[in-house]
Amino acid sequence: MTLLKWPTKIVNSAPTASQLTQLLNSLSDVVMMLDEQHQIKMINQCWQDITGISIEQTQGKAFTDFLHPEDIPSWVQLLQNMRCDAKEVIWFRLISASGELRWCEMRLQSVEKNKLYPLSATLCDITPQVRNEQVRHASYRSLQSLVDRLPGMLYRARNNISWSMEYVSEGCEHVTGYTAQTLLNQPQVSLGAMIHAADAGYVWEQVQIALENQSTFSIQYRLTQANGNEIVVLDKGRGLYSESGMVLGVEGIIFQIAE
Amino acid sequence: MLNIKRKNWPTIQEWLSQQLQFVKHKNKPKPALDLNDLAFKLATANDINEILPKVLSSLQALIDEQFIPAEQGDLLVLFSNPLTSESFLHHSMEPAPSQKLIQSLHQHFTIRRPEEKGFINLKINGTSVTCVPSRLFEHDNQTIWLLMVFSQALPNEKKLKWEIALMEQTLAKGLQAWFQRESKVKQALAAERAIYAAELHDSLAQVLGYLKLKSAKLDKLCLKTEYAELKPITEDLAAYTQCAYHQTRELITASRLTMQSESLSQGVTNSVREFEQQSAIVFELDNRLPANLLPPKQSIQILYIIRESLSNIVRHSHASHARVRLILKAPRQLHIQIEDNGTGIDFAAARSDSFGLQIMHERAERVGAKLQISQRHEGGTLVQLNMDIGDKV
Repeated sequence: MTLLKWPTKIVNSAPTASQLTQLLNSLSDVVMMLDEQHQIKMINQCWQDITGISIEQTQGKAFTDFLHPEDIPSWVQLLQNMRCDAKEVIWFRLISASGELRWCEMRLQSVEKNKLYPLSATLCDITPQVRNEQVRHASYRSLQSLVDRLPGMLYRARNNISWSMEYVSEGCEHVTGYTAQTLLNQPQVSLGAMIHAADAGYVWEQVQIALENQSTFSIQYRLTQANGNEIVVLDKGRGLYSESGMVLGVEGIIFQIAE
Repeated sequence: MLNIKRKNWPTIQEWLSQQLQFVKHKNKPKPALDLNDLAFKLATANDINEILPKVLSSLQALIDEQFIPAEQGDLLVLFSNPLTSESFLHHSMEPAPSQKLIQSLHQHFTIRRPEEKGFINLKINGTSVTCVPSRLFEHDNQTIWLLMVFSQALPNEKKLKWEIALMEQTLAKGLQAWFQRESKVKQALAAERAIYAAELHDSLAQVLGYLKLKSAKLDKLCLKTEYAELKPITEDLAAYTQCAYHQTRELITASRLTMQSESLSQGVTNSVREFEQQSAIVFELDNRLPANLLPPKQSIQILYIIRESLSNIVRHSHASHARVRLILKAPRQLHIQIEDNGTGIDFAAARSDSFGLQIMHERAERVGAKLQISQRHEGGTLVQLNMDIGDKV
């Protein structure tokens, strides 16, 4: 018995125009082509899905007609600096048919190698991501400004004699007279150096005892401010430990309690 | 003897002067337009949109004399701002230039910002049009172009250049002076307003602050039963003083904000940023207004209303989202909408807040705007302000 096996025919022909159109229209990103006048020459179905504006109403229109007015300057600037070998990414807001805004990310490049125009672009609706980011940012911003407005100094320090700071809140300036940036970036300015020499030993001991017992500390000591004034502060805090109980740092808050 | 009798023989002097006058008359140019006068007219214009077309029309007449009708072109001045993608075309043409022409000039000069000098060929509705551009000067991101548009034959290039150079000089001189004067006036106004705001702050606000403390104390003292009769009066006194103090502070802030930025848009942006810092509310600002839409007087009132709404949202709404939208509904119809998804407004709430709402209404009325404060369908509060900004283009 002989098994007749026909070699499968390798189809090498290019996809037809209708296949390509079908492919483009099935995508969930917008694909478009812009001419030298920055008018929309070609655009796929996804545009209508995102913006609610029909393809017929879009083709031949300038792209800026659909952009939020506040985003036009950055768009114009991008196009002016556009070069034919570059691939650009830009975020902007589109105004949909209902007047709602859609946040979009656009990737833009030349169609041909040595010619700037026409430009091809893909456009992706990133509205949900932007909204999430806004919510995240709002809660971070709210917490940050709360911390920075407190009339005390929140800190996270390393457990060493100069109490090198990893983080201090803006209230630092209120308490010590130094800005948070100075205290974080300049090694010669440290909390350890500000503590009155006679109190430094006591402070170190009390904190070490609390760390040993994994309890909190609450100590009062004298602090010399940036302008030379001496004040009395209250420092409440606790250690920061790893799972195994290793001391990673000290966190707390310092308030001024007397001149 | 030849006897020619004539009654009035001219003396030699008279005759000579007659002849000379004739010669003089022949060489004397027609009473030419004084270009300096035109430049002066521009420099001192109150409304450039009115004066510039008139000046252009005079210049047009002047340049038309130099060329045969088939070679005549139209003079245009284009204020092009690539940053905001805005073009303003000034012309003296009757009828006005076609939309197509304006569109393609906008495309060419504002969108694509040409570097080259030289002729530009444009296709307008199938006919070919040649545009001869000359860059007059730049001011504040704006490029001022003088354009000559020829729809028929192009005249001799050398002669054209020579004639245009004259126009260039006049327009550049006049417009530059006008821009300078405008910015000086703006500066002077801002300085004046700053003085008033400082004055208000130093005198009135300080005194009101003091009164606020004292009246609140008085009100507290009157809680005792022996003063029960006085209580309603002191309560009113305290509430009104608090309100006056609050209003004064807000007015100072609003005028400072409009002073800094010269525009409502910037003032709103700064205010939203400011209130954002005080809360965990997500603020969305959707501002679709062109720059410099309203005069400062109106901007201050509108900004006051927006700030009042924002502070109500931060203080009372318990919202997680708030949106401020500024749009033009029709070309001259301003629509502002401030909404939140909070607990909604309680119209029977504390007295000091109903004061706030009342003042918002008063201020809206003062600038001829319609203010509507209502409950949002989905929960929360909706503040809507509609205003006709007149037909000044």
